[in-house]
This record gives sequence, C-alpha cells and structure tokens, in this order.
Amino acid sequence: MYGGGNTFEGIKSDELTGEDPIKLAEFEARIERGEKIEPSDWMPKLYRKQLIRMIEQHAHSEIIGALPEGTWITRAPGFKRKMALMAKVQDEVGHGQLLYSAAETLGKSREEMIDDLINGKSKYSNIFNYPTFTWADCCFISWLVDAGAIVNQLANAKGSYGPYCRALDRICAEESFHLKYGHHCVIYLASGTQTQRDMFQEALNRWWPPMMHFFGPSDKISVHTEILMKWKVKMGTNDDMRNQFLDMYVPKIWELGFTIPDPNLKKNTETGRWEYTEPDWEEFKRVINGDGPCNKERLEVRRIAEERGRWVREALRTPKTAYVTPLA
Amino acid sequence: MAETVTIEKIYQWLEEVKDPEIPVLSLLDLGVITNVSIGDKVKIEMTPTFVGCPAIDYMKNDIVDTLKKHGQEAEVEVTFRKPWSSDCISEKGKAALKKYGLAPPPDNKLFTDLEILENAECPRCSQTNTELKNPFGPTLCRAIYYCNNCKEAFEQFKPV
Amino acid sequence: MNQEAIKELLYKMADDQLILGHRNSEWTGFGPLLEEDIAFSSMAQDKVGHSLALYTILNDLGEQDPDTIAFTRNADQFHNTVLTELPNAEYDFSLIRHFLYDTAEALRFEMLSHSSFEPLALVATKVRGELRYHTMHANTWVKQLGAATEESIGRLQQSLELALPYALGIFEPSPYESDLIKEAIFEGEKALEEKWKKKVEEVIAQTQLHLPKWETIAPHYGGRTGKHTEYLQPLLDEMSEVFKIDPTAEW
Repeated sequence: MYGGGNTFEGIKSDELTGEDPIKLAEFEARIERGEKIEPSDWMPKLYRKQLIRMIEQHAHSEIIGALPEGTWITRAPGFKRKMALMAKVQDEVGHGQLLYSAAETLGKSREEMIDDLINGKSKYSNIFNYPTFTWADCCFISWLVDAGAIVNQLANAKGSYGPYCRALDRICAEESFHLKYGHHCVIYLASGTQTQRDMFQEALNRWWPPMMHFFGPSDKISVHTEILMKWKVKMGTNDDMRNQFLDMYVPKIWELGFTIPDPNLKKNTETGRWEYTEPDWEEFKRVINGDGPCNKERLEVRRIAEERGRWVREALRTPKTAYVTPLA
Repeated sequence: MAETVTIEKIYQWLEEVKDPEIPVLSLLDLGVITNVSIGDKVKIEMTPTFVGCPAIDYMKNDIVDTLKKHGQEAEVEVTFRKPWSSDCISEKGKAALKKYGLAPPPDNKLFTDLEILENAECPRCSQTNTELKNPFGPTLCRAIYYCNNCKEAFEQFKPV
Repeated sequence: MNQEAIKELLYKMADDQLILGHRNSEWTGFGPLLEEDIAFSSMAQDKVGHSLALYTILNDLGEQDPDTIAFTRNADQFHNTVLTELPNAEYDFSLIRHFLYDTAEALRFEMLSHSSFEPLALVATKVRGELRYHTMHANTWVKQLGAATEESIGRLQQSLELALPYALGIFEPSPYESDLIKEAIFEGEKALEEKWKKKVEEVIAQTQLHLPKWETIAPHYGGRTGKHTEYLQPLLDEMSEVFKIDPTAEW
C-alpha cells in the first residue's frame, strides 16, 4: 500500500548533463510511444535513481504497512476476519518481496534498501506512522488506505518501467480483493451496534487528516516533477490523485452514515473538484522527517527483526541446500 | 423455475465468475466448481483450492449474484468431497495464467520432491533457467521464483 | 461410531491447529527475512483454516458453532498440546517447534485420510497435500541451519532439547485409543508416535544436530486434558479481545 506524493525531491539542473543526447532522445521517444523500458535497456541515470527511490519506498511501505494491521491478526473477531486479515497482511509482505525484486533489477540490493530504511535514509508512506488503537482503525486501513493505494498504483501501473508495471498489475488485482474485505468490515461496523458505529466514527476522525496527507503535498507547494511525468515515472499530480480518491470514496462513507471531520469538504459542481480544508502540511513534514506518533516504534520493530534474524541470514550464506537463497 | 434452464446454460454463466485475485481466470477454469444440479433451485457444489482460502465466501457470493443476474436462485455448497488439486485447472486456465504473468502449476503427479519445484518455466521467456525463492508466495496458492534470464521475480501457481 | 472418541480427537487436533496458527501469525512482520515472514504467515493461515474445517465437523456433530468454540472457551477447556502454546521465542525455537509438530501433523493427516469416519477422511485428504509444503519447508530449513554455522547449529540444538519433551506431549495417551483403533477411525497416538520418531531421526541424521535417546526424554503431558502453562490464557484473552466487546455483535 503506497501513497506516493512524498516520493520525489527537487531535481537539480545539472542532473541530465553528461547523458548522450541521441540515446536520451531515443529513450524519450520509446516512452512517448508507450513502450516499456526493461532492465537491460539504456536509461538516464536520473531515471534509474528516481525509479529506485520510488519502488524502494513502495516496497518499504508494504512491509512497514504490514505492522499496524498485523498487530490485529491475533485479535481479529471470528474466523472469517482472522483468515482474511492474515491473508491480506501476508499479501502486503509478499508485495514487498516482489517490489524489492523489481527495484533490484535497477541495481540496488535488497540488503542496501533495508539498511537505508532502518537508518532513516529512505522513506515509506507517512500514514503508517499513526497508531491503530482499535479494531476499527484496522478496518479503516483495510478499506480506505487500501483504496487510496489502489488509486495511486493503478496510475503507476501505466508507467514506463516494465518490471514495476508488471508487479503492479498483479498487486492491484490482489488489492481490489483487500478493498472488498475492508469495505465489508466497515459495513458490518456501520450496520452493527452503537458501540461498533462509534468505534468506526472515532477511527475515521483520527485517520482523516493522515488520509488527506497520504497523496502528498498539494501541487501548489510540491516540487516540480515535469520531467518525471514526461518519463512516466510519476503518473499524476498529488492533487489529482487526492481528488480521484475523494470522488470515489466520500460518497461511500456518507452512504454508510458516517461524518467526515472536515466542515469544508464538498464537491464543487462547476469544476468537478473537491474542496476541503487545506491539510496541515507542517505536520506532514514533521511526521515524514521522523517525528510522528509511531515512526520510532515502526523502525525499531524492523531494526530488532533484522538484528534478531542476523544469525539466520549468516547461516544461509553457507551454501548447503539447493533452494534456500540468501536474500536480505 | 420460470424458464427452462439447462445445466449447460449454468456452466456458461459460471464462466463469468472470476477468481477474486486473478481476474483472468474463471472459477470453472480454476476447477473449483465440482458439480451443478437443477432442482427447485440451482445447486452448485464447490471446493476450495486451499482449506484456509479466505476468498471462498467472496466466490460463493459472486456465484449467487451472477446467477441472480440471470434470473436464477442458486445455492452454493462448499465441500471436500472432490478435493481440489492444481491438476483441476483447465488447459485454458493454464494458458490464461501464463498470459497474466503467473507460471501455471506443473503436473501434480510429477511433484514428488524439490526437483520439480526447482525449474519452473518463466511465464515471460518460457525458459527454465529459474530458481525457487520461496515456496510460500503472497497468497496460499503461489510460490515465488526468480528467472535468471529475465532477471526478474515471478510467481507460480503451486502444484498441490 | 463412538461420538465421544471422535470429538476428543477432533478437539485436540483443531485446538492444536488454532493455537499454533495463532503463534505462527505472530511472526508476521518480524521474520528474520521476508521469505520467512511470508512462510510463517502462510502456514498460520493454513492452520487456522484447518482448525475451522475441524471445528465445522464438530459443529455438525452437535457442538457449538466454530466462532463460539474458538473464541469463548477458557484455557482449561482447550485440548491443544502444550508445545503449541509456548511463546515463539527466537526463530530457532519456532523453527524446531514447526519441524517437530508438522512432521507429526503431516503423518496424522496421512493416516486419517483412510479414516472410517468419512467427514474427517475427506478433510484429511485435502489437508495432507497442503502439509507437504509445511514439512518441506521445515525439513529444508532444519537441514540448512542445522549444518551451517556454529551459532545456528548451537541454537537449533538448544531449542531441540528444550522442545522434545513437549513434542512427545503431542502423543499423550487418549482414553479412547482402543475405540478409535477398533472402529478404524484412527490408528492411534502410539502408532503415530513411532512413525514420527523415525521421520525425525531421518531428518536430524542429515544435520549436525544430536538427537538424545528417546528413553531419556520425559514427555510433557497435560495439554490434552486442559492442563496448560501460564502462556495459554493470555493468548486466548488477546484472541478474543474484540470478539468479547460484544459477543452478540456481528463483526
């Protein structure tokens, strides 16, 4: 599950100097024609760098994203929910595995990527830095955070890099199943007891601001990424993605009888765009830079898991059997 | 029953119901529909690919909804009477899987040890210069392989 | 057929699967490598699914519905073997437990696929195919880590010694043993234990691990009759935390 938006830094003006202009023109013409770029094809350094950055963040988001929901597997109410949640979280980790592998085709090893995650050099979706206090928080993620991720991933699946697009096609198919599961969970809360309804309303109130942050800073303030759009690395602006999400899901939330904690939220019938209170981008920046409610905890879990698993990975490097391959 | 409905017709409609996670594969091609009969109601028997498959309820509902769309009340029973194995996937289903980028399962009867699992055919380049990375993939029914040719990971529908 | 005997058998198998499935699922997000995260949560999912299938048979025999059975009983009403409820500890213990338990389970379901009690035979036929992946996973990892570095061998050896008495507890004698055998429902715990010992010896022999003589290991019994360690009740409390907010609610 991945929100994008926070992926890209500004591009320095000299980053394309030194590239062979003929190869660059050919490369751009291929993308223009809708062809996919494959691992062994020529590509500008900047393209490679930005793609690694994006796919890596996506992969990290999958494995860190498994944590806030994962803590509810052992508490999920009833067999049906327990089995579906297990499957869903496992899917996310599996997506991480596929995505790390897609990023590796660009020349960065999974080990390096995980190191960069733990030492804070590489980011993941901001939303996973918020806590899941109740079962309803978990349901919010399963339905709406997944929904947001699908909006973003469907767009990215039309991008230019072959291995990433292929991974995304399958990921999207699986996540639409997650979405169904999440939606069901919320429908049951909505049509359940007062306690259940209150639980979800409270979760919605807590999660709405991070959900609005999910797609990244407003286009007015985010860095310019025209070249990445041209290269089909970034497939839509943050505000477009956010708008698409609101368009699809606000009516569904209202339909279930819940309120959204933003008095200014409404669709402008003339422009077709949603209007809302400007999200607190200062908080967004604070959280992404490490000062959110759960940043330390999430990375600590990853760090401890890596630490405790070190002897296993070392043992795997002594080649004894056929199929277990040392990876991360 | 209002109109005469034939078993054949039901099978035709069931072709529209797809695996919830693999949209190119119908439940018929997946081989989980084990019997169709017509009495007061249409009765469909199905069996899960894996006992712990979390998608079974969704499949059941999809079957009921689809048949309702065609004006048929249907009842779906999940049983283990004819247990599913990966050999139940039809040839058409296997071709669809491959096209979708998932390696179809090898013949289950051949699967006696790791050797068979070792050299799955890459769905992209059709070569077998591949290695098993993990017998457990993102879903219960898939394993993860790496193609040394394409330098890319791929998933295989596991032989069971 | 002796219903009480069948129920006893089903309860202990289902409880084993549920509790170990729960423990396996605790590895989600914490594995020593992503592959193992996924492997343990896959196996968790299988096991919880198997427990549901067995509780469903119990339900057909007149017991309560699976959710009620699984989510509302207390520790002393559970019949799982103590091995399954012990905390995950480090990866070496989880792996050894997985190996010892799943070796037994694969054999048990293999035997039960010939059971005269048809509903169980049908489920067992299906489950044994899935368990091939569990035992294949366990064997491969035990063989690899049991012959790799000094640390990995040392850790596995220690966990093996710790787990073996509990593993023998899987085969705690059942009061219905002779009825089950007589009616060809199940060949019995004793027969299973013998087959299991052979398999375990076979795999361990391919490693640098040392298997103590069987007669020197005192089996830890009690789980089958509801005598559990202090670890089970907290696990159950956690499992039913949401369910018990309102047991009449639909979630």
